[in-house]
Parts: sequence; C-alpha cells; structure tokens
Amino acid sequence: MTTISSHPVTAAWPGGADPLLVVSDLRVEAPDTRGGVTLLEDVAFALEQGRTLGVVGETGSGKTLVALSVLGLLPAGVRRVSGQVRFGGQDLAALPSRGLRSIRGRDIGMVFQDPVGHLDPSFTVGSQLVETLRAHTDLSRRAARERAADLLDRVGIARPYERLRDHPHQLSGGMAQRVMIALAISCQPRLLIADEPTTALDATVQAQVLGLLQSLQDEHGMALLLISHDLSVLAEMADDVVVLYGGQVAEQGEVTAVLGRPRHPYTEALLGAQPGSVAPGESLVTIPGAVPAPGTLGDGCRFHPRCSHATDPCRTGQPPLVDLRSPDATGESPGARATRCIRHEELSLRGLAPTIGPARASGAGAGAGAAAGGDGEPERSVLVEARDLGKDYAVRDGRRPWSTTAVAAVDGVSFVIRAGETLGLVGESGAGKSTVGRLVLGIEAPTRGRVLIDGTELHQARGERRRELRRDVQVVFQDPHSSLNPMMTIGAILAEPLEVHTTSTRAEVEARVAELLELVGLAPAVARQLPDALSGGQRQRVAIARALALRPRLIVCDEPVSALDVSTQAQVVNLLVGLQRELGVAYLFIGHDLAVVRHISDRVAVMRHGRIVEVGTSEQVHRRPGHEYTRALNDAVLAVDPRRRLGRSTGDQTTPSDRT
Amino acid sequence: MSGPGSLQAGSAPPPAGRVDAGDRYIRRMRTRFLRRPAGVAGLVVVAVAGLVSLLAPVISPYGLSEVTSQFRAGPSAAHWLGTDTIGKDTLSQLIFGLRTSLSASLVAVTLAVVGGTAVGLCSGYFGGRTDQVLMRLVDAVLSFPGLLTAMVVVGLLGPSAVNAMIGLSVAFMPLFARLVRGEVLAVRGAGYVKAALVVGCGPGRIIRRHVLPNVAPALVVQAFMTLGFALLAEGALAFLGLSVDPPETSLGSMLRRGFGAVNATPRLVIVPGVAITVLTLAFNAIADGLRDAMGRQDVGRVGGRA
Repeated sequence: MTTISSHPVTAAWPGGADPLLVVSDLRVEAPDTRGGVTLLEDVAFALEQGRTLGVVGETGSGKTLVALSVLGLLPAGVRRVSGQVRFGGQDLAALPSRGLRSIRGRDIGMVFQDPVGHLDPSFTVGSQLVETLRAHTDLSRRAARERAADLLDRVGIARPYERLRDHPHQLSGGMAQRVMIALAISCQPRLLIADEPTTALDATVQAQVLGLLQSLQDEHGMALLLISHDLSVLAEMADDVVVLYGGQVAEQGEVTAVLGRPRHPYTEALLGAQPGSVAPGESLVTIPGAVPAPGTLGDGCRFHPRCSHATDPCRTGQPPLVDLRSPDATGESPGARATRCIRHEELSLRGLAPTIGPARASGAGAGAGAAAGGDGEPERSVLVEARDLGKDYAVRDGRRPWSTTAVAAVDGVSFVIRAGETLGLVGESGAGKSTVGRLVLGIEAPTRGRVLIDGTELHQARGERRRELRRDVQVVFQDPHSSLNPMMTIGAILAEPLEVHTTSTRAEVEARVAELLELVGLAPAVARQLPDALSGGQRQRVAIARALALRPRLIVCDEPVSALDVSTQAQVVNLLVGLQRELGVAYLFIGHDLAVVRHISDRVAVMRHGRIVEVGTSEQVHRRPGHEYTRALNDAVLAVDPRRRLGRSTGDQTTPSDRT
Repeated sequence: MSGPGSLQAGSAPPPAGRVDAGDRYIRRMRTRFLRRPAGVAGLVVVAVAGLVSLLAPVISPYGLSEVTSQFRAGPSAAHWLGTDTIGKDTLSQLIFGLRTSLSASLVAVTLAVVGGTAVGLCSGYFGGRTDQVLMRLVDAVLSFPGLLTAMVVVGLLGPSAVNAMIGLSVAFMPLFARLVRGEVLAVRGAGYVKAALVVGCGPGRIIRRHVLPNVAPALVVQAFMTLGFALLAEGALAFLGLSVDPPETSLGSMLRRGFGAVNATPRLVIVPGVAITVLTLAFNAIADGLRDAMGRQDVGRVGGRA
C-alpha cells in the first residue's frame, strides 16, 4: 500500500495520467408532477487506476445514485440529464445497452451492501460464479469451475470446492460478502464499485473484508469506488473522498487533507459525530435536523439550516464549488480539492487531532462516563443482578426434522447493574446479547440461573409486585421501523403505558405525553402524527419516550443506534446520556459497535458465544483488554484517521460463529 | 419512504392533544381511496345495489310473488325489463333477487371473517399445539374445492337460504384463518408488540390494540374480494337448487329459471347474469382500491377460491 504522505495535495492528479474513470457535471433527476426533482447535481470526480475514491454522506445524500449512474443502472424513471461518465476514455452514456452490459461485470465489478440479498438463493455459489465467468470469457465449464474455486480461495474462503456447492443462505454475512467480492472480481475488472460493502457486517469481519479489498487492489491495481455512510471506513481505505450533501458535492479532495483540515462545516460535523472523536462522557457533535428531501430544497447553501456557522449570505443564492488547488497544480482532473462553503476562508474548522497518538487523555481511571452525577457518592445500590444465566433454544436439525437439540444461546452469564449506571454489552451477531436483554426484560424465561431486579425475579413475580417491576424495566429496540405500531398516533403510543399502569385522567395522560415529547426533544405536535411521518432518528426518540413513560429505573437499549446515520446516532447517544444525567436511569446498552458502547458505558461486558469473556470499566476494556477477543474487537474499531490505518489481516473466516 | 418528512405536514389536525388511535390512519386511507376512480365506481355500484335491496319492498313495481297476465313479454312501460315465463315482472324479481343474494353473501362473508379471524388469531397468537390442531383442521377443509364444501354442508343441513350462507361461510373460513394467522405471526414478531409486553399489556390489550388493527387491512381487502366470490358461489348454489325456495328468489335462482327458456328469451338469463358480473367486478374494484389506499402491496395476496 502506498503511504498517504507521498501524495501531497498538489500532486494528487499529476497532469498527463489519464484517469480510469472521469465523471463530470453529473446531474440526475426524477420526474415529478411539477417537472423534475434533482437528485444529483454538479457531481464531478476522477478516479485513477489503483486508487480508491470514497463517497460519503448521510442517507438520502445521493451516494448510491452515483454508483448506479456509473453503471448505467439508474432506477426506472430516474434519468441522467447531463454530464459524462467516461470510463477508460469511453463515454458510457453513448454506449448501446449491449456494450454497457459487456462492460458491467467484465470491466466494472460491483459489490452491494446486502450480500445475501444480491446472490440468487436458488443457485449454488458455484453455479453463479461459473455462469458469470462463462458469460464474459470463453472458458469451458470445467475450467470455469476451477477458476471459481481459485477465486474463492483468493478471497480467503477455506475449502473452496465445498463452498462452491453451498447455497447463499448457508453462508454467514462475511462469507457471503466474500463470495460477492469473488463474483465482482471474477473477470478482473479495472474498476470495482463497492456500495456500503461492510455496513451489514460485524466489526471484526468488516476489518477482514476491507483488508481483502485492499489486498486485491494491490494485486491487480484495480480502482475502487467505495461508497459508505461511515467516515471511518473511508479514512481506512480511501485515497480521495467526495463528501456528498443533498445531491451536491460539499467537499472533495485527498483524504488526509479533507479529514485533517476540513473546509466545509458538514465534513467537520460528520467527523465530530464519530463516537471515537471525543472522550467518553463528553457530548458528541451532532448535526441538528435531517438531510433535506429531494424537491424540498430551498434557496441558499443546502446545508445552511443545519450549519452552526451559517450567516446571512449562506441563506441566499447557490454557492458554487470552489477549487482549492494551489495555482501551481497542473492536473486537469475535475475537483481535486474543492468545497462548496462560501465561508471556507474565514472559518477554521476542526479536523482530526493534529498529532498522531492517544487522542483521548481523559484518564482518571474508571468510567469517565460516570460524570452522571454519581462521582462523589458511595457505591450505588444494586438494581439488577444476573446470576449464572443460561438460555437454551430448541434447534431442529435439517436432516432429522423430527428431533430437536438444545443449543445454548446464553450460558453462565452473571453481571450486576447498579442504579443510574450504564453497563455496555458488546459482541458480534449471534453472541447472545439480545437474548440477555430479553431475559432481563422478563419477556423470556431463563433456562438456568436467575435475573433479580431489586431482589425479585420479574418473570415469576405476580400481581402488584409484577406490575411494579414491569414499570421499572423498559426497553428501546434497534429497528425504529418496527418498534412503533404503524396504526397508532405517537400520542396513543406514548399514552399506552400510562393507560395500562395508572388511573390518570385523560388530561393528565395528555400532559404527560407532552412532557415526554419535550424530554426527548420532539415538538408537541408530533403526538398527532403517525409513525411513518417521522424519520428514523425521530422514531427512536419516540421509542425512548415510551420507555421513559413509566419512570423506569432501568432501560434495556438493544442496539438503539445501529440502524441510524452517524449524525442521528450522535443525537440519540447524547440524548440517552443527558437523560441519564437528568433522571438517574440505568441502562443496559447492547451494541456491536465497540466505539459507541465504550462511549456511553461506565462498564463494558464483552460477550462471545453466549458467555461473557470480560467485564471492566470502559477505560480498562479499551486500554488494557484482558481477553484476546476484546483485543480483537478493539483492533477492529477503525480510527477515523487515515494516518492510523490498521495493519489488517485478511484471513481467518472460520471462527465458529461464522457459519450460521 | 412515503409521505412528507416534515412534521408540519398533514391536514386538518384533530383537537390538540387528542391521543385516539386509528382515526387518523382511517382518515388518510379514505382520502387515498377516494382518489382511485375504479374503487369509487365499485363503491357507488355496491351502494346503489345495497340501497335498492334495502328498499326492495318499497320501490319494486310489483310484489315478490305477484303474477301478471303477460308471459315472456318484452320490455315496456309497465315492465321495464319484461316478464318471465310465468308472468312475473323481471325488474321486481331482480330487485328481490339482489336483496337475497347480497344479504346471503354479506352474512356468509361476515360469518367467515368472524370465524376465520378467531381461528387465525388463536392459532397465530398462541402457537404451539393450538396452532397445530387448528391449522390441520383448516387444511382439511381447504383440501376440498370451496363450492363442494358448501354443497356438502347444504346437503347435510337441507337446502335453504340460511343453510346456503352457512355452507359458504364454512367454505370461506379457512381462507381468513390462514390469512389472519400469517399476519398475526408477522405482527407478533414486530418490535411494538414486544414493547407492549414490556410495558405490561396483557394478551387482550395486545390483540385489541396492536394485533387486530394491523391485521385489519389485509382482512378487509380479503373480505371484499370474498364478497365477490360469495355472490358468484351463491349463484352457483342457487343454480343447483341449493338455495332459496320459491317464491323467494335470488340472482342464482333467476338464472336457473331463465335457463329453461334460454333460447326463446335470453333476456331472462342475461339480466341476472349481468347483475352478478357487475357486482362481482364492483367488489373486486373496491378491494383493489382499498389495497392501494392502505399502501401495502402484499395485502390480500392470498388468492380467493370459490
């Protein structure tokens, strides 16, 4: 891998080299009753052989459309109004669909976010690979199969001949993504487009897949167009980045330059929203509001309603993309370093920490997050105690459907949550985290062991005691789309716990609903909305408000931010931290992202294969991990810093949890 | 993502702080339905037919069993649709036949919806053994063609309008049981049901507030589809003599009587036939409109059988 420092900004696009992919002046519209709604506008970039271009932005910023425009695969009705996509000197738009088809798959490979969804479930991995190979080459069936096995081997899949006979559903997420990559590179493309290739994967698997992409790139010198909402993935991989906002380029340039010295407030805000960017307990930078919907764009800079630096001139006119290259740069490539912020010269925006090294010097031992107001107090009382908890599930064997075997999802788990503290529970998918959550909530009964809440077992309590305990333990789930009943208004959703548990009058309930909405930062008018009028972040706020309705002492947060954009994630994390400070509620915070869990938790428990392998303060788990698995998780957390890239290993996809 | 993203969107807010469930959803659905011409046309046809049947004794020009001296007369000022082979006024017969057929379909489908929903709810919500037993029963009924099931039931109970309705409802019930069970299983796994459990709602409240409202859209769509099938099926049963006895009449029994003289006076078959066709189409149009208005493509995917 070339080191970044050898590419100073001015040399980023040396004149003479003909870039592999040049996109210029791209404008994409969707038809609408009032004419066209612009989805992408004035997008331009160049990508050279062997380099990686990252495209970053929140949901709705138009990232995926960029990839689809390059491939000529825009959704029905959406069309390119202007602009060129030149690939290897050819304008792809001018090609007949037949020519385009032969380029797709052969010269341009594509990797999607959801690998299992993009593999045909009714064909084996082998037949899909062989078919692709035979479509683009003149290999015989037998030779194609040899080559397919070779490809699987190359993407780090053990026993490739056996895997060729598997169907996609038999693969884990990481394996399926490796197969997708094998498919994409099967014809040795010159350009690989990867749209959120690791978003659905666990952190350690993400690190492996990114490493694989990088080593394949080094081998073949192919160009990589990497699309992600996660700045840390781009910091890890990209040579150059394009920051998209509202369908426009907000800022673009070489990665260390853009992240090190952002010239657009949006980039600064995205950086600040990363959970690793501040010390635990400190608030994350948030971007208020949400990405504007296409067609609702007003006058002025598109970012100004959410920008903390906005002034009057920002609210009028359309700011142009300003070229920031120094005059002596000779490259002809469009937009090598540019920003759309009209105040970029006066603002001094905060980028990455200037020096490489431990960014966090918060120190002071245990749980800096314990700024929850309990610092001076003596040991807080024990709220939840899990003793040797175990939960078995009956699993049907595919070959012997008449019998079931018990598989332990959780085994021998013990922990304590004290009043007002946050216990983080981290681990990869299938580790049993959510099962522990359900056991604590008492909606499932443990097979072994006990969960005591205030000394009583919830699922065995009866009558008044049960109702009391029910009030004490509440929940926030991961998926904001399924956690609110689509038929009920927000007001009715928030009123329900009150109606079940109290005998308040209608007026009291309504007052409490308004109070709850205010507590989570939503307008009172939201009470009349149906859930589908709200964004993901707003729904998650409603879910938090519902959990708070009964003034609980513990909230089980089951991956509450995993489905959210990074800026929204920061808002919700800050909200949770603030509420804890204000109300003294304890959290069991379940997550797979160690950076987020570490940020919010006083203590962190690391789970693997149904067991807790390590418990410690946030600081301990981060700085002095005792278990090798904790160390692996720590290592897989990407620093949002291109100067601190991982020395990645690409192998080992055969952990027991990897075959589901 | 549908709908406007902003919170200011939406029209005609109800009184501030009102926290009733459902009504907002229904209002929005009504607006969307009214934008679909086919659905609205279907609704108008069904409404007119319903009104005519309700007012049958008042508006029909002749009585149900009133016989005139004109046999097989063509349309005239006195008999808009002519008369049949025994001198009854065809328009009056049509109006009374409509009344019988519509109410038979309505009762049959209502029974099927109530029974099927109960079975499906129990099956889906409680699962386990209950589910196994109920679903095997449903499978057993489903393994016969629907019309055959209805004929067997009518055969056992004896031919009458009431028994025809019961027979049809037995034939349709499994469809609803299956549909409801599937929807309940999907809703059961949703986060909001788990959250309701955590909040402390009992099964009654969860079924009433969370499961039923979310199952209802699919159920309503399927009910309207089935109304169309029921009308057809009632026609078929009546044609076979398994429905009303004379002098009562229904669209099906009109067909049957007209069939005897189909060559001489095809009008006597065409009139009830057209009525059945138009109404069935209208029910289907309503079902389609509702499905679109409810904004879910997958609702009502279970094909109807009759």
